[in-house]
Parts: sequence; structure tokens; C-alpha cells
Amino acid sequence: MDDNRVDLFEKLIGTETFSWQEYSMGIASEALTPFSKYDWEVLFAITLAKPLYWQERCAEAIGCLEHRDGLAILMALLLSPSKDIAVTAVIQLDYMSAQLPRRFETALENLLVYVNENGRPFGDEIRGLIDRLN
Amino acid sequence: MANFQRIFGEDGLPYLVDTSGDGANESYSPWSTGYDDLQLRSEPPPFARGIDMDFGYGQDMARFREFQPSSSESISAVSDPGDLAKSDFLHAEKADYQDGDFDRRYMSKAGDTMTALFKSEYGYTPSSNELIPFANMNGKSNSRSLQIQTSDASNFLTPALSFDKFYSPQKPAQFSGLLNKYLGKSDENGSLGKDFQFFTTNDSGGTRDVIDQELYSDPAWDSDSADSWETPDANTSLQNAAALNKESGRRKLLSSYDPAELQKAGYKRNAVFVESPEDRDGQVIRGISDVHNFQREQARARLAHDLDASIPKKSINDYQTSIGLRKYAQKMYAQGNMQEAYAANRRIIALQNERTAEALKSAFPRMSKEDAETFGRMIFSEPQMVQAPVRYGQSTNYTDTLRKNGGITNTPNATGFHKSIVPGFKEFIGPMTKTDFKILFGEAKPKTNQIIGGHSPDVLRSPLYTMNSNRVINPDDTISVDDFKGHVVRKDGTYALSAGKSPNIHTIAPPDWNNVEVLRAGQMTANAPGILLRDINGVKTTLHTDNYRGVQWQVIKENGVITSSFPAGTRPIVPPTP
Repeated sequence: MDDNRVDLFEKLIGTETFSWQEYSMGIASEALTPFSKYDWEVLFAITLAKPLYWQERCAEAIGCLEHRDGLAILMALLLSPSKDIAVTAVIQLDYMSAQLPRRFETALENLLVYVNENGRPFGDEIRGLIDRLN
Repeated sequence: MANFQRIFGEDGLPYLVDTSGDGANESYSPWSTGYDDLQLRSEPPPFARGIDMDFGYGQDMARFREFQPSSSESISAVSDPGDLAKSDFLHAEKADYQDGDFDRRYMSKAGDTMTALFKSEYGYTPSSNELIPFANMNGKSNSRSLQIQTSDASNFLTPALSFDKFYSPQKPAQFSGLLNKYLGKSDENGSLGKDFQFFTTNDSGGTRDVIDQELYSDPAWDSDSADSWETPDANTSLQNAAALNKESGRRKLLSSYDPAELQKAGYKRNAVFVESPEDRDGQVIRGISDVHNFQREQARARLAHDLDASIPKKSINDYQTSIGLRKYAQKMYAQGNMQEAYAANRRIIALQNERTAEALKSAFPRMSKEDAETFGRMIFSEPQMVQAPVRYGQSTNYTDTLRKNGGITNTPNATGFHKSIVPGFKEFIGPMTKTDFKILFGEAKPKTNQIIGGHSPDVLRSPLYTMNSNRVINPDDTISVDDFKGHVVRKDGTYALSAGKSPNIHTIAPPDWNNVEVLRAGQMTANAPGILLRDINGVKTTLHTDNYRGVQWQVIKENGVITSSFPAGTRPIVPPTP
């Protein structure tokens, strides 16, 4: 593992009070490019222990440049009790045209109900993931 | 016997002027007049010192062709060739003015002498032979006019020579009246450019200025040459000049009409009017914005696309065939049809990249095709000196090598800006760089369907972008929108709407800004001190923050090259804590 790579990514995610926008996200996402397999495993482990804002930013950074090595993290975040985190993960998975295992069907359908009830415009993305389940 | 003196016009092109009175004046391009003649035949223009590089392949030649002066038009540095001794024209002492004339203190009450002005502009002390064309470029035909008119030195330089003043609406780009219509909204009434002087000021030249401007600012020009995308020839210009001279006393340039309709109604095909013209039956002639004409333009553009794609690009001349695409792209911008403009621009960029890669491969035979393409893109997309890797056996830079190989036909000027690729400068003849394009109109992130960039206020009005109707006006007049999407080239190669942005907020420059200001905000901000964001594999990413016209602006650079430029809105990037 290269501590520097994961550490740098953590720094680029920043604290909750720091701004997070498309360009800071892009910089963080590019920091994921040289990640080794072990780095991704470390990131997986620490992400689940991080606060919600961090998880959301991490998901967006993974989806920004569509790092497929981060699929496991996104799938984990899809099952987050925070619907906002789950929706963010869905958006990233949709970007990557991911094909999820059938066991995610219930979670996705629940999420679809949530976005419909709350008027959030991500129904198409969720339905797309459901259609691609295998 | 003819005596030729080389004079640089404000277009940056050198002209041979016969001062012997034999009427042998001609212009020439120092770089090439044909495929097999790519040798550099003269020094770059004096205002091109501090050379880095440029990417206007073949454009000098194109411009040369477009502005081909005729022998009847004097473009001499002096108003009367008799001012110079026929047999010894290089000695200015024998003319009205002498070395040092331009340096006399009395010439400027403000203390600025011509030499000082020149030096401040170009960074070195000029010779008298350089001062003459310098004066010429400023519309002064001889030293006497200098003495009379330099009492206020601030009025002496044209804004075209001043970076700060360049954007002033009084002096627009040389033939970018049309361009300014989409880059600068202040040209909406067509008032820009009427007093811009391309050639030396004299009777015939002045007329010609108007014509050249009209040709390039008037969309009807292309309509007038419906069967060709070639540039206008001198005869056409002269005919137009005559027409305009006749009309100019009572008509003001305002708008354009279908040339065929004008001709049918008894007007000249390219006549311009203050009021809408009427045909022989008293019916008002419709303008060129009419749908049928617009559709015809689209059809013609597709034809140009196909034609351009079908021509093998084996020489610089071949690449000039894409000049029509450039004009078309500009026209489409002006008309708000950004999809067509995008398509044309992308085709042009592809051609440029292809040409650069070819030149690189020729200059560095051992360079792999992939590297050539990569570096070609770098060179084209970023106005920076790109050093050749040592492994290719040459320590020189690409710029010189490419020039020797005919890959570069133009040079930037001493300001450090590569004006020919910066929209808003008179030298700009398009297309804009990939980065500028991204900043203004957005593009897909690599290998994704997500859009990045797109900060031009044009996106607020273009049908090619969608966003939530709830728009937040920030205190600095920037606009924040969410669910922002735009047309990009998607992963599958199709040109369609992008995926939504994430995070779901997009910031757009103030609506009253034009695109030149958006780009300049980035250029100015890039000069601010940077903060290191990261250093990976030798690539240093720095963040630069500054205020431009009251808007907090941020720029991201990689190894000194601007990669992103955007209004911070309410969420500026904050560097990570150590």
C-alpha cells in the first residue's frame, strides 16, 4: 500500500466545511487513478467508517472519472441507510453503466419509491440500474 | 529597377513595397506560397519577438490570399513614394525623416517617445526601419504626422497594440466583426470595426479596409459565393469597394440581405442599408436570418464538411480547405446554432491535431505514432512551449523543429499571449483551443458522459443546454444552477446531451459578460500566485484565485498550463490542509 496515495485522496476530499465542486472533485478523482488494488481495499475500509459527507464525496470522486475499481465501494454505499448517499451512489453507478447483481433489486426499488415520493429527478437512473440487473 | 522594402502590415504579414515607383509592389508570405516551398524566408514580424509557437497552419497563407493587395493600392510606409530617394530607400535620412526623428522629446508632451512606445510594446529598442512600419501600423504615414499627432501619446497607439485596450469596443478584431458578435455582445449593433484600419491609411487602402471588414462581418458574403468556400479575390473586393464608395455617403452598414434578391431588386448584391430595402414592387426585402437562407447555410455547411473530409491532407495548402469550416463555425456561433458550430470546430481541431502529428512524426522519425498524436494534441491545445523528449534524440523544442518542417506558419507576439488562438484578439482566426472551448461551452470528461466546463453565459440561452429553472444569482452576479447538462461527445461517440453534473451545482459567469471576458478572467487569474494542490508523477497541479471585475475566479494549472478556469461562485476550491 502506498500511504501517500490514500492520504492524498483523503486530503483532497477535505473537511465538511471545505467546498466541494466539480473541479475539486475532479482533482480528487484523478488522485484515484494511480491506486493499486490494495489502495482500493484500504479506501473501501476507511470509507465505511467516514462521515456521510465524506462518503458522498468519495462516491462522486469515484464516479467522476468512472473508476471501475471503485465499484465495490459504490455498491456498499448503495446500501447505506442514508438515502442521499444511496442516490449519489446510484448516479455514479449509472454513469458507469454498471450491471449489479440481482440481490440489489429490493434496495433499488425502495430507493425508487423514495425519489418518487420526494420529487427527486433520479428515477430514470434507478430504473436503468434495475433493468440491467443480472 | 525596383527597390523592395519589406514592411509588416498590422495583419502581421510582410509586404514587399517597391519604392522605386515602378509599380512592382507585391505582398508575399514569408513561409510558403505552395506545398513544396516551406522554407522560412524572412524573420518573423517585429511584434512577433519572444516567439513561442503558434498553430495557425496555413493561416498566414490563407490570410495572405484573402487580403491580397492589388498593385494599384499603395501600402507603402510613406504616403508619397517620392519622399524616398529611388536609389537609396533604405536610408531614411534621405527621406523626410531621419534616424532619431521618432525619438525627439518634443514629439510627446507626456514624455513618451515613439521609440519608448515601441520598446514598451515589444521589449526592445527598434531601428528606424522598424519604427516606420510601427508608425504605419498606427495609421501614421510619415514623420510629420507623427509630430503633429503625438502630442498626446496615449492617443497614438491603436488599441490593437495594447492588451488592456484591446477589448475596448471601439477597436475590434481585424475581420472578426462577426466573431465579436458572439464573443462580444457590445457589437450587437454592428458598430464595431468601422474605423479599424487593416492596411496603411490612404485613400484606396481605407476603402479596402471597409470592404475587408464587410466581407468578414457580413454573413451575406458566403451567400454571395454560394458555390464556393474560397476566399474572396481582389477583384471582388475592388468591385465591392466601388459599390460601397458609391453607397457610403448615404448608407450605413447595418444588415445583410439575400444577394440574389438584392440583385433582382436592382441593388448591388452586397449592398448594405440603413433601412430595409424594397424590391421593385415596393415589398420589403427580407434579411438573411430568414429561415430559408439559414437552412441553405446548413446544407452548404454539410457539403463543406463532406468536401473537407474527402480531401487527403498532405500539405499545408490542403488544410486551407478547412478555412470555410472556420467561417462557418463562426457564423453558426453568431446565429446561435452552437450544434453546427461545435461540429465544425471539432472537425477543425481534428484536422489541426492530425497535421501537427504528421509534422511531429516527420521531425522525429523515431517518435511513435501515439506519442506524436499525444504531443500534437498538447501543442495544439495549449499555448505553451513543449519540449521534445530527450529520447527522441533532439534537445530542441518542438516549436523550432515544427517550423522547419512546415508545421508552424505563425508565431505569437511578445506579450506572451498567443493571440491567434485567443478569441478576442484581432489575430484570432479560430478555432479556439480545446481548453478555451471547454471553459466556455464544456466538454465530456475523458471516457465519460459527464460534462465539465461550460461557464459562458451563452449556456443560459442556448437550446443545447438544459438546467433546472431555479437559478440562484450569487452576490457577484454569477449564476448557480443545478441539473446542468449540455451537448457533448459521449462515450459511444454520439453527440448528445451529457449526463447530469455531480455535484449538482454549476456556476456560470455573470450574464452580462461576453466570452472574451470569461477567457480573460482565466488568463488574468492564472497570473496570480498558485497554491500547490498535488504533485503526482512530476505533474504539479496548482490552484490560482483572483478577482476579475468583482467576480472571484479560480484557475487550475498543471505544470503551468491552464486546464480549468471557472467562477468560484459561492464555493471556491479551498486547498487541502497539509
